[in-house]
Amino acid sequence: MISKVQTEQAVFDREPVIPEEKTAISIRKVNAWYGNKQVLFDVNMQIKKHRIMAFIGPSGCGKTTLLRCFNRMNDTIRSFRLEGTIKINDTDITTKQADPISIRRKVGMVFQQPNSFPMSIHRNLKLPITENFPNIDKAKIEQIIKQKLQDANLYDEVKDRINRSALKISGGQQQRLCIARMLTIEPEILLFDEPCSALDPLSTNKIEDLLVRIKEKYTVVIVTHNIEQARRIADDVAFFYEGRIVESGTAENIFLVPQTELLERYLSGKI
Amino acid sequence: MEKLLIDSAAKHVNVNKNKKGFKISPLFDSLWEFMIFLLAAMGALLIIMIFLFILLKSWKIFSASGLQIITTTGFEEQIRQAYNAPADLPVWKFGMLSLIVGTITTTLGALIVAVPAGVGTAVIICEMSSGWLKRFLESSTRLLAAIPSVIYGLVGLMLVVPFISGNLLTVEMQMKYLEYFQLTGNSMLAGIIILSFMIVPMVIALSVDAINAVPKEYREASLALGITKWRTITLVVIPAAKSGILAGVILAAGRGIGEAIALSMVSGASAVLPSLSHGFVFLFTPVLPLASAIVNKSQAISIPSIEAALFACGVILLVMCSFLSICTKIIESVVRRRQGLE
Amino acid sequence: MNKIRDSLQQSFAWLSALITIVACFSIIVFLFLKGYKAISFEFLTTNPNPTFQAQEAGGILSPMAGTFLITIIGILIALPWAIATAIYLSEYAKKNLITSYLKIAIDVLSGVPTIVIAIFGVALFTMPAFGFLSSMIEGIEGANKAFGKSFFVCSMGMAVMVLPYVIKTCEEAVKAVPVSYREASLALGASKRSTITKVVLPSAKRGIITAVILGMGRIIGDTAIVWLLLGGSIRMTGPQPWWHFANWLDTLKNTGSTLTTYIFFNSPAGEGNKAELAFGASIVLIIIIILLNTVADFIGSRGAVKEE
Ligand SMILES: Nc1ncnc2c1ncn2[C@@H]1O[C@H](COP(=O)(O)OP(=O)(O)OP(=O)(O)O)[C@@H](O)[C@H]1O
Ligand SMILES: [Mg+2]
Repeated sequence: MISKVQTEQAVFDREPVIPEEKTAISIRKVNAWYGNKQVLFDVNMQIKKHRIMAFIGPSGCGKTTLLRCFNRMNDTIRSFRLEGTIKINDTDITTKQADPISIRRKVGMVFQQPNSFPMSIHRNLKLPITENFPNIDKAKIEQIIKQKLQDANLYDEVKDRINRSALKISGGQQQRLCIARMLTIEPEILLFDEPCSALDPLSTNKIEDLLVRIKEKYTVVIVTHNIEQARRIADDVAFFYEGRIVESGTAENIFLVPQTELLERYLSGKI
Repeated sequence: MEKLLIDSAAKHVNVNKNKKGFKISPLFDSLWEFMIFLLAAMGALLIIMIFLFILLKSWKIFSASGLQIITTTGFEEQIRQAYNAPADLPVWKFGMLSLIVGTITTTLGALIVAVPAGVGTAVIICEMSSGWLKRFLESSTRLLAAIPSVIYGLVGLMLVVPFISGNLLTVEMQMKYLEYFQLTGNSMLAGIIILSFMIVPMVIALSVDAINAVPKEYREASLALGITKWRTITLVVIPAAKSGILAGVILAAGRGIGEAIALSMVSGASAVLPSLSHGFVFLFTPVLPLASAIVNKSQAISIPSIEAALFACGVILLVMCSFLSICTKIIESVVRRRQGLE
Repeated sequence: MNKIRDSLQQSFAWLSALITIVACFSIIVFLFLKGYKAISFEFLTTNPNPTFQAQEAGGILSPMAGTFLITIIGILIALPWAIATAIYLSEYAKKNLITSYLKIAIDVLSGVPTIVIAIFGVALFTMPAFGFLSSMIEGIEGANKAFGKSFFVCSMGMAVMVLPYVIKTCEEAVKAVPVSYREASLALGASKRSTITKVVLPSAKRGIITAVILGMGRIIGDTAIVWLLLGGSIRMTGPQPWWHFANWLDTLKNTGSTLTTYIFFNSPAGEGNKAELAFGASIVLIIIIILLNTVADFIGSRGAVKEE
């Protein structure tokens, strides 16, 4: 019992790891279908630890689908089917034996629309903590909540109304609340599906700053339609077109010397 | 479809234009609108009329009994006196405490059974089942809701009441409580059991609506946080659906309070004040809820004072049910506002 | 610890779902087992007799006719009224106090127990002015009052009872008609009335039919209103033969019974106390209700397919 509590607490006291070039997610030969319709074709990719990977590509090309494979969210879609392997820390997460719950604890996700629960801000943050770390004490919970709100650049804006409804703060604030909420479960990998598409430029800036700041501690994968945004924050970029990865590499390479005509046309806004 | 409609509208307009010379159309239009307003106004006035009529009819009871009507007992005895009283000396004083308590205990008892069971079934329907099982559950619920109350009463009388008197009651118990009331199977418990089955479909139906209305984003958010499906349901989905569920509970309460026929058949039809001091025999007390009293004593309605007393039961019922209806509205808007949906 | 809690909760939910199914089926099976012997051609085609001899008790022809009569008349009164109110609410009502009052009034009305509507009917229709709907009787002290019990009176009570439900369903149906239809019609110069009668109502037809069927189901199943506004006699009390076309007005101004009061009368709680007949009539009633529900479902599902 005691040792379990200690390890749980230890998770939160973890020092930021010094960045090193290692693979966080390794994707091999992934094909995916909704019913009979194939939406991903033979995707291969390595996502590096402590870097920001951006998925870009026109609408409907399968970015969200691939992203949702990383935390098994596609399990909720009945018609979905996947082939291939996706390895996180050298274990294949696509198999039946892999437990989606523990995968989701390791791989956090922020959605396109802010989806804070219809409860107080405080309860929004407390709920995942008590569910994932049942033996944690009260003072520690409060400490984590404060810490994560600060990590998400939100603490100063909401500290006076932490017990008010989370639906009564602005969209940008809600999105940062969702980020803070995701951080409470101490994931290793963070997935963002167009996190800024519903936000104004100022909120977008805040979230971008945040992403750049937290990549020290985590690995970040972000889907974005905003090429400027990818330019500003991404370390690596993968360009999708109709379910295939057409080009991928470091951000400089992708944006400065695109190899394919498709990417060139996409970057110049023609597709 | 749309094009077709527009075509037909166009055709109709042409017809109208031909008629314009007679100038009938505007007159007819305003007459038609007047009818609509009139009927809507009649609908709006109906509830006031109901209130006024039954209040007027029972006014003598309320003015003679005052507050005692809800604080004293003795309804059976008073009915008997009123029945035998000479026409020039009618009895206007009635005490309906035992009826009110009977209404509340049966309804509350049924809610205690039906609300958890109904919400549980709704969760199964919405979240845990699919395909034929789901359809099967849905149609069972709908059928349960459609069974008329008199059939519930009949089944209760032929199934539940004999079960209680055969298996739960002993001769010693009957002897012991003879001075208070007769212990037959017809009892509060039988009423509660039957009423539970009558109101559970309402709780299920409204909970299903409420749970289905919870956006799937909340579920995804919770699952993505590593929370199990079941905990997602209990921690996120049900709390988010609570205002709808509460509306269902209140509606079900209203149904229970207003149920007359089934309860008059199974709950004992005798206005005893149930007392907790009897221990578990409390549940076997025969009770007469307000609504059943009206059915039960309606043979004597030709006597003006009894008629007035039954109307007084109606007034109390109406006040309780209107209060519940208005509560639903208020709770709905409060919860919505608190959740920031407005 | 938490695992145990979760599995307890889950088993509870599954158990309640199971009970719902089992209850539903055992009620139906119980009724059939107890009542199938009562059902025969004769049972369905003869009139009931209030007698203690089981052999002479007769059948349920006139109660079925009674159910039919109050259902049809009741819905005929309620439907135009409900459609008018629904049209007012969706097409004419402005956001003001009167409208919100009307909405609350309808909500409260839908929460009024049927027994209260029944005694409201007693209060209203025993007024001498409404004597033409039933018959006049000598009250105490020679004061005239109306009898207040007849098929007409009962149907009106039923209309009041179903009114709020029919309004709500009709309102939903009318509101579901896309605004573009209305705009198209108005843009072509049609008046508001013809837009509503020629475009909106036809498009809402399916919803309105559903409302009618649901309302009919409620009327068929109700006992309290019949008990007080039609009375406890199980025979048709008008001139015989009651079905003769020369007597129809008198039949409607007199009393009788419906399937529900027939069941009540023959249950151990009533005076007849012939349970088998009550069960037989219950089977007939349940079948009618299941048929109505199926029709409503069919219309609903066909509509859903069509709209896709
Ligand atoms: N639940 C689903 N059922 C069936 N098909 C789906 C489902 N979700 C997505 N699709 C299809 O899969 C393909 C890929 O969708 P996906 O959401 O991954 O695209 P995307 O790249 O994220 O697009 P966007 O930029 O618009 O979000 C699309 O053609 C889409 O129509
Ligand atoms: Mg997407």
